[in-house]
Amino acid sequence: MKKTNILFADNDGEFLESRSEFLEQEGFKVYKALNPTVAKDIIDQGNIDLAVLDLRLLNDNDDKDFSGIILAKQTTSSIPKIILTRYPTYEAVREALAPQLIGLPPSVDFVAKQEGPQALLTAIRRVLRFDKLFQQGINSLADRINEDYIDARKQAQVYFLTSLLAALTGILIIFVGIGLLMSGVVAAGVPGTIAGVILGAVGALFFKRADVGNERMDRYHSELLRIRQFENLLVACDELSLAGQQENSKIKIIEAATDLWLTP
Amino acid sequence: MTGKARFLLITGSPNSYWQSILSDALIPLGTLEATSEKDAVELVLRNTYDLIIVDATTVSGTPTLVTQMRSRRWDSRIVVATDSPTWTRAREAFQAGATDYIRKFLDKEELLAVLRIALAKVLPPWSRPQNPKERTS
Repeated sequence: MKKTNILFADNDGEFLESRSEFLEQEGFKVYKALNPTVAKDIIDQGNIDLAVLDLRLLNDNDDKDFSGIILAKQTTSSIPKIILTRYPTYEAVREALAPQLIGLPPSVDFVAKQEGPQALLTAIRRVLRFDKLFQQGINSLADRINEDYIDARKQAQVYFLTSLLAALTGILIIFVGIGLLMSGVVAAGVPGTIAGVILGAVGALFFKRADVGNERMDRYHSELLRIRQFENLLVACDELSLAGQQENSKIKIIEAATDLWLTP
Repeated sequence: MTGKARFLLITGSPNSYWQSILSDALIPLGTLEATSEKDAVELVLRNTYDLIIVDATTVSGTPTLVTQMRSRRWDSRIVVATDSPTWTRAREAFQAGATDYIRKFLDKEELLAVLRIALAKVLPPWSRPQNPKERTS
């Protein structure tokens, strides 16, 4: 199973080492950064699942140093962030967890170092559980639609083959009936022709059913395509250079998807 | 924002000094109504408020109250105000769904500035209803 990649950014090297070791023992792959520049580079490389950012990444003695939150704001919101600090204040919590004007908070949780490694682990697991649930939701929906698509395709194929068989048999019987009529065997020719016509009609009916099956297939296919487009667009947002652009684009995509899927 | 905004203060201490400051501060933006913790949920279901302010110093169980408001009104902007802010209570308030957590400023200008920002905040898109009728249900 793929390990979860965590970025751990802290300017206290000793603390960074000990907490990273703890998280690695818990089964995570930890990328370490001692300053915001290195942390940003690691995030930009794109394989981080979650970031734990120290609040004061530049200067522990500066109570105005919110560089961890600034980094959280500057980087993609698709990576959840947890702010960690030895100096928790309500102002810092406000800065970290209050929704910004655009709607999303810079980080998803705030943990004090004094709360211990277990509190950090609980916060990480809670965030990852939500992320996993979201991905599972998308995947199970796609799987379900895919199963329905396969069912609909099978059904359409059966209808098509049945209609083809019935039509061909009908045509054959009509020809035999006409042949019998022309040979003067009226008693067998008339019912034969009628039976051929009826079989032809049955074939046409099955052909119509096959058409319905094809429409269902098209519907499922376009739904599947929409889900994939939704995922691709969200991923594409992360490639935009500015955090603000990323947020705005994501909001537009989610709103459009909400309108498309949920508006009656 | 066009038109006058509607504010609701949930307080355990009606007609307090801070309420009068808040009421004065909000004059440029709209009108302030006050209610108790007990009646708040029903009132929020009946009416639409642009901003709900919870006086955390005078009501008990602020996070629960915020969660109740948020679950009943997806579009609530909720500001928790307190005399003695702490980082743990701030975290609880935001995790419950508060839009902001502030000190009970006595300065009207400061109060107005903070509430103006809270009022301008866009709510996350996934909290919007599928049917606009839900707003009034």
